[in-house]
Order: sequence, then structure tokens, then C-alpha cells
Amino acid sequence: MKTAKRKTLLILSLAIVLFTGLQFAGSDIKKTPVSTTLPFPHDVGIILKKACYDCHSNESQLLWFDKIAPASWIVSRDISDARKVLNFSVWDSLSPADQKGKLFEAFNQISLGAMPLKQYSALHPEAKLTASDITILKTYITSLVSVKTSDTSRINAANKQYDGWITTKTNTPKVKPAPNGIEYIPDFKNWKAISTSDRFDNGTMRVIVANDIAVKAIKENHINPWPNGATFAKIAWEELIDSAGNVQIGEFKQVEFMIKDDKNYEKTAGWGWARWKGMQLAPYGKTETFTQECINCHKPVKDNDFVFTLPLHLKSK
Amino acid sequence: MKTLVGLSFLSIFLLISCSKENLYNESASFADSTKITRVLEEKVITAMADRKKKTISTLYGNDIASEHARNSADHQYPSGSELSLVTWSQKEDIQWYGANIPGEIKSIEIVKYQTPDSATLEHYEGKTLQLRKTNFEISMSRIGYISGLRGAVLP
Repeated sequence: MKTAKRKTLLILSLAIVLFTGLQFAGSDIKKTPVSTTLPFPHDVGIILKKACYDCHSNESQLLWFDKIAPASWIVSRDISDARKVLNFSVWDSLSPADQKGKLFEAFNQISLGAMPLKQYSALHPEAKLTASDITILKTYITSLVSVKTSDTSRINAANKQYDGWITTKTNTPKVKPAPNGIEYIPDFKNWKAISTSDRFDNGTMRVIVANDIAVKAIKENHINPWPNGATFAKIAWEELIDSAGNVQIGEFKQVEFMIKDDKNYEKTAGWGWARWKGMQLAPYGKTETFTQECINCHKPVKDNDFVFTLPLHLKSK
Repeated sequence: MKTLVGLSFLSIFLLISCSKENLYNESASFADSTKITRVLEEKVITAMADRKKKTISTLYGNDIASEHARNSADHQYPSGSELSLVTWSQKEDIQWYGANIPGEIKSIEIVKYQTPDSATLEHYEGKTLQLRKTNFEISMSRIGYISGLRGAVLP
């Protein structure tokens, strides 16, 4: 009897020592001052602070339970990942176009329910956004959309690119693979279109095309999940807008691919991701971790197998 | 009992329809009854939008037409070329605020080149894609406009 009691006491003591020891290890989330004054209207700033700042700024306001290990390790990792994606404390380091892009991405993450993270808002109910908060954010980001007509420099740039492309077909440069090893697939030009998108948020026109495996899946209603081998290319051009509101395709900007393979690409949400930019088709990303950016953006549509595009329902005839 | 069974079937049908609409852009797709679905499976030449009329269009071409548009800056399409301009009303993309995508189909205009100097226009309108008669002047003007659209750069 005495031995059993001693054993329990020993285990308990060890657990206390271990738990206390854990508190000194791991979490390194620091609260550092913000170097920039944010350009947001007052009401927008308040919403961003309450919903995003704990993870997406250097001003994390951790509550007592966030600081207890091992939970603090998860909090620490989440904050570190979040700051890499978006950090309002270094807002000034982004170009105006990237700032606008980040705000639209953040808004879509919020409106599709992916942000704030469910596990976070369950413990921090004050971070939840109301319908009115979402309207304020939507009105604000809409006000950032450019309604300017394209000037002659943009039209000339598009003409120059077109003239070069239409006359020098034989000099196609050797395209380097993406940092994750994915090779460029030039045949995407012959794939079938499944949607067209007028991206007024960033002034690009996009056509999304799909290979034969994806088209077959569309026709046979097997698109969630998409079958292995299904591949999409999203082609983006700058938009040229005239004073009458007509939008034409201008310079080619980039082409992005999603290649479904739940075994080979298991670690990247079952898809191979790649992007090539400009006429030189320069692969995007410095290391293979660039795919994290793709997955983060596509996460709100994980129930649609990470695919944003709602395809045209092509039919077998 | 009959009502109950009927209601159950109706609910199942509605559920299936809803889940399909969540995965596909059904409103922008062709109705099952239409005979010109092949248009959507041709190659893309370019795309455009009209912010005032709130429309979005994609220009498709058969192999002969797309080959020409991608390799020649002139707009002298060879015999056998077929260009199809599909125009939809725009709708907000429910998956991405900041994008407008095809909504209901408004029209399809198909330009067919019998010879490099002679082309005809077929004009279909509405969701059911009814063939509409167009007078000579309008036809000529639309053939000129559609044939004059420049192919998008595809490196």
C-alpha cells in the first residue's frame, strides 16, 4: 500500500517538474514595436487589430493560457507561420500592388470562413467578425480598386510584346523547372477552357484551361476530388481598359499550374503547384517551400479539393 | 403518403442540383438540349469584358482559326476557319471577391470562313441559344469585329 502511494507521489512530482521545465522551453514569440503607421481608415484598423493582429503582427497580445506549454508551442508556431504570410508590422515593406493583393486575399480568407482560425476564435471570441465588420472591410477594399483607363504606355507595352511573340516563334527559350521540380507544360495552350475571370482586384484577365483528364472528369461528374493527372493552367494577362469600360487582354503576365497527384504531391495538399512569370517564363519561388503560399491561399476551398474555379459543365455529346 | 414520397424525391433532386451548382458553374454552361456545345471545347484565342454592360466574353477558334491567330498578325483567316465569340453576363465569383466570372449565356456569334474572302455569321441568343436573323450590315460589322480581335499572347 505504502509502495503504491510512493509511486503515485513520485510520478506526480516528476510530472510537476516536467511541466515546470516545459514552461522554460520553446515559445519565443516576442512583442516588438510596430515601425509603420498603417494607412487604414480608423474603423478598418480596429477590425484588423481585433481579428488579425495577434498572429499577423509583431504586437501579439497573448492571453495567460496561450503562454502555457505545450499549448504555447502551437501558438508560437501558428504566429510564426502567420507572420510569414502577412505581417501588418512590416506593411511598409510591401509594394502598393502587393498591399492591395494581401488585403483582398485576407478578405477572401475571412469571408470564406477560413480566418480567423477556428481554434483561435473559439478561445478568443472577441476576434470573430460580425456581418457589419465584413461589410466595412469589403467597402474599404472595393475603394482600392483602380478605375483608371490604361495609358498609352501600357498599350504600347502590350503591342510590343505581341509583335515580338507573333514574329519570333522559333526562339522559345528553354524553360527552367519550378523549384519543386515541376516542368513547364507548353501544351496548355491547346487545353480546353473551363472559365474566364475578370480580376478587377488586380487588373488581370484570366482564362483557366484543363487537360483531357480534367475535362473527362468534368463530363463524368467526378470532380471532387479530382482524379490523379487532372491538371489546370491559369493564364493571366494585364487588362487594358478604355474609357467606355471595354477590357481587352494586354501583356502576358504569368501561367500557373495545378497538377493532381495525391501520392506524389501528398505533402502539398495532393497537388503539384507551379508558376512561370513573364515572357521569359521565369519559375516562381526561390525554394520548394513556395508551395506553402499556394496552399495557404487555396485553403478556404479545401472542401472543393483546393480548386477555386467552378468549371463550365462541359457535356459529352 | 404520395405527397410525402413526392416531397422526398423533390428534396433529393434539390440537394443534388444544389451540390452540383456548388461544384460547377451551371448557369454559364450550355443547356443539355443545345446542339452547339463543341464551341466551348475549341481553343481559346482571347477574352474580354465590358464593365458597363457587365458582360464577359471568350473568343474560341477551331484548329485552323486558332493556328492562324497564334502565328499571324493579319486577320485574313484561311478557308475552314471558325471563330466563336461566346458572351455571358458577368456574375460575382462566390469563391473570390475581386473577380467576375461568366453568369448566364447571352449570345454566341460564329464566324465561318468558306474562303478567305467570304465568311458568314451565325448569331445565337439566350440560354436556349435560339438562332437569330441578322441583317447584312450588322453581319458584316460583326464579322469584321470578331475577325479583328487579336490573339492573346501565349508563350
